[in-house]
Amino acid sequence: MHEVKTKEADSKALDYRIALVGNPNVGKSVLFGLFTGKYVTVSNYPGTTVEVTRGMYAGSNDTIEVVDTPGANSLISHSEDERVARDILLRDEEKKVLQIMDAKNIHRGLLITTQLAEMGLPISIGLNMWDETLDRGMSINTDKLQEILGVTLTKTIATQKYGIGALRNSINSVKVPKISIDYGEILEDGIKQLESLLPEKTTVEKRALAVMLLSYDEDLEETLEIDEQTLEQIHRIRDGVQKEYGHPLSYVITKKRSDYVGNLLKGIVSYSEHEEQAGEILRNLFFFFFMPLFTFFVGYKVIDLMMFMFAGPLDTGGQTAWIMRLTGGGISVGFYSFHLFSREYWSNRKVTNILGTLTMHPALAWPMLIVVLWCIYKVVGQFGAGDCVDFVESKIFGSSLEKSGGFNFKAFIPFTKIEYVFTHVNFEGINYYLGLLCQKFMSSDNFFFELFMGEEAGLMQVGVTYSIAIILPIVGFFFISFGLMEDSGYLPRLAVMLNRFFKIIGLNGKAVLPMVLGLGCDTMATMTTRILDTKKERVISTLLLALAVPCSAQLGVIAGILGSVSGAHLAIYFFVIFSQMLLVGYLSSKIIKGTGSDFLMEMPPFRRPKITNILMKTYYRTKWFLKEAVPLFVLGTFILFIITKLGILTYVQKAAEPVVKHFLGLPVETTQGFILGFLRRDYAVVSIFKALEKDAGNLVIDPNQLIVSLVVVTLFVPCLANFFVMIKERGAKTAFLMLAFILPFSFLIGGILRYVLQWLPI
Amino acid sequence: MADEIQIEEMLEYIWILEENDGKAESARMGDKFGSDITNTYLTSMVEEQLINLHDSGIVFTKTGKKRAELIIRRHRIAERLLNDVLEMRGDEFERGACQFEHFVNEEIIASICTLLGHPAVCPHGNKIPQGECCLSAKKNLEPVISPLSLIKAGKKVKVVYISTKSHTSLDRLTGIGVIPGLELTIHQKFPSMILEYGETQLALDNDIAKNIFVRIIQN
Repeated sequence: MHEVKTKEADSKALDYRIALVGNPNVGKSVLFGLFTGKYVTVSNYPGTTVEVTRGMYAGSNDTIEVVDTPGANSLISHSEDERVARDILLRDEEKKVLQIMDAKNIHRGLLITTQLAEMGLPISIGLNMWDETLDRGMSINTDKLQEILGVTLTKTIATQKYGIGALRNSINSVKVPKISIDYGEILEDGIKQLESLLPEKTTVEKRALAVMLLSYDEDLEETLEIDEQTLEQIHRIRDGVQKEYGHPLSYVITKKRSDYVGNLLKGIVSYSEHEEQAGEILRNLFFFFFMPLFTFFVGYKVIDLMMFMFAGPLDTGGQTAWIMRLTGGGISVGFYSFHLFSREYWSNRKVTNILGTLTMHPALAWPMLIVVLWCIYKVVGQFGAGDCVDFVESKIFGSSLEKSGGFNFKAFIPFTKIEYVFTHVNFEGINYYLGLLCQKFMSSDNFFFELFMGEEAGLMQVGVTYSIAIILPIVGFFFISFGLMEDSGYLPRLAVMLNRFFKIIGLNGKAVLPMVLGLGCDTMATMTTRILDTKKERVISTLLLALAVPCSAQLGVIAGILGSVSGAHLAIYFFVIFSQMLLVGYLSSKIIKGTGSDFLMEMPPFRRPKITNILMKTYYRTKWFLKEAVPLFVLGTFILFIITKLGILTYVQKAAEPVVKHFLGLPVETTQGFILGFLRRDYAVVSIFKALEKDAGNLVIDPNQLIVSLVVVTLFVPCLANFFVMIKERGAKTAFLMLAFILPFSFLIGGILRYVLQWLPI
Repeated sequence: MADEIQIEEMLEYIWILEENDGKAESARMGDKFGSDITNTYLTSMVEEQLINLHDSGIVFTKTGKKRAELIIRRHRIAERLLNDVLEMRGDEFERGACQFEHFVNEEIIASICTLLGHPAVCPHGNKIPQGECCLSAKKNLEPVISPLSLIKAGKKVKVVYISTKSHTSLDRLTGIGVIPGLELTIHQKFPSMILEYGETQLALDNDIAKNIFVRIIQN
């Protein structure tokens, strides 16, 4: 009871709300962060914010609430995130609207202003990205526009905190814009008729609601809770009006608005001759130094990777191999230079713009993509999952019974093999010290010692250590790379490149965002599927995320293990997973009812990412991830501990023997890994690897066994956290249906792969 | 306004008479419009320097001829549209074409003309005077309006109309600023089509591009 009371007190004390609205990718979230001091994810692509975020206006003593909304190009809703934004405006609350625009796309911004004006909402406008507007030689006569609209316009550069003070002040003088659009006799007549049918009291101007209803906004009918009879009348009027027009009404209405805005902007926006901004030195460095160097590297690396995949890591040291690599590099420099000097060098474009074009060039973008992926693998898979994990696991955490032996604090000098040792650190590992501490009270075969510090399934020794030592470095580095891709604007360009592929599996390029994010964490990615337009697409992408997208933690471990065995096997692994994704995606796009949507996405300009933002983002994402993952790890370890202690494991292993041993051809000990797979797939990978290692004894692990087990685990059920999110987002029925499909399917593919591999001469 | 329409009607008739008989006589005009009206309007048309009167014959001035040509063109294009596309017949068809010619502007006529493939004759078999769109079509040897998906990368085009199957994509397109009249450049077509207009770069599917009809304005 007490809690409820405080809540009431809160809402009474609230003076008003500030709603941040605007087109996608205009910087609402940055401003939200500045106003509230609360961090929300900020990126350089449309659709970063999918939910409404609320926070208290800093310094307002909790009397002013700020609401950040997902971006929308129109207040007629098409997807969940757009509806959310619109519904906020329809809420019955005391609110002031702060509309943020991308000043260089002012036309599109004002299109929303017309709708806000129609709703009768008091607003103030922030013209954000003023710097980019100036860069493009565009000038906007804000004084005149301000006069016409009767609303305060503030020029801002949110990322540099320019104009923020003025924007804050403008909130106190919000006004309804002086905009009135005449939609023409027939439409106006329809609007009048609809207005008379609407309930007495509405939260916004009836005219706005009437126009939305005419635009076939069916979500609105739901929100307004109109009774059936009135609804029928409304539909009749709407269809009557529609008959008079050759195009859908929503189109006719938007066209009118757009024409109105176009007229409004006449004489307000002007372009001057575009002037070169970047320094001459920097530009020449880019053309004559960085690009040749980089493109040589691209060609070199592509050939290198091809040889690794096809010829195996062993024959890549010879002289011919060197010549091939160098030739690859040379050819690459040739092609890129030809493109750059014939197309870009004499144009006055900024370096970031040139990169923006290059990263989606029909031919030249592909080798770059391969190298970008390779770099991510190097950073996440090798440095993160390899070196960092090794170090944290064996040196920082260590083992409860053995000393880790300490480590050297040293510096490498790049490109030489010299390393300089500063000092030797005599740290034996957290677990070792904890173990020592515990052994003061009990012997090392005590039940409780085993529960917490046991080598097999101790909560601390295994659960916490694995989750932090293995997951933290991998996920952390993945989120850093992902942040770089997001903030530079590379991710939407990836969508452009992969759209055709996604079309085959019933999705479109937009799905690249959740899919790539899925490589970081499937759970987080499943929530991001909200940005997709239709239900069918959301279901397909949820299924594919659960089935075929390994998260970075898992991928890092897998790539590390397989890469060390053979490049060819790694290639087979990727081929199998990829082909399953294609197959299942293709089939489900045929089976699942509903329609897909067409790819339509605005490309944000390429920008230099801000390191602080990336670090912030990584910090919050990793924190979120750990909160999800660590308890599950510990829980999983606990369950494992119990079934080992009670001896259930042997029974389960026996029960699973026909499948695991006879069908998949794996040692029964791996069953433990599959059980863990229910909890976390990455955890399962480690466990299976250890089991195979044990089974092999002193011999090398059979790569065929390894690859079969890894394929099964990858396709296997998503981790528990992901499954919960699936239930929440898609409903229990869909989630369980997916589970019922994925489980047998993964074993089936594993079995088939085993027999195929026996035929393959590797 | 009524005057304008009346004058246009008369110009049109003079054209037809010239076309059929080789010359137009005011007597024939009187038969059609009544002698009072004919006399008043002919005088005012002379004042506006649209025609000259030689005895009983009516001869166009340069401006008059141009104006008449446009009206005839509008009328006959409208006839083609109503006849071919909307399949109207008889009275309704004639009346429709007559009303059409006075209210439609040149740009729309050019679009319709292009849509119909620059027809040479009207349904009655009379010649349709050629407009600029017909001439440029001949010169370029290609239909001037075509779906965006068929146009090569690098061209600058103007959106003429958007044929609409999916409400959602249409609303999205208009919301983001793609509406008839918009001038845009096709930046690239592979791996996905990218359009550039104003400060916006927009990536879109071929499926949507198929439904956007454009006119090339610059190669």
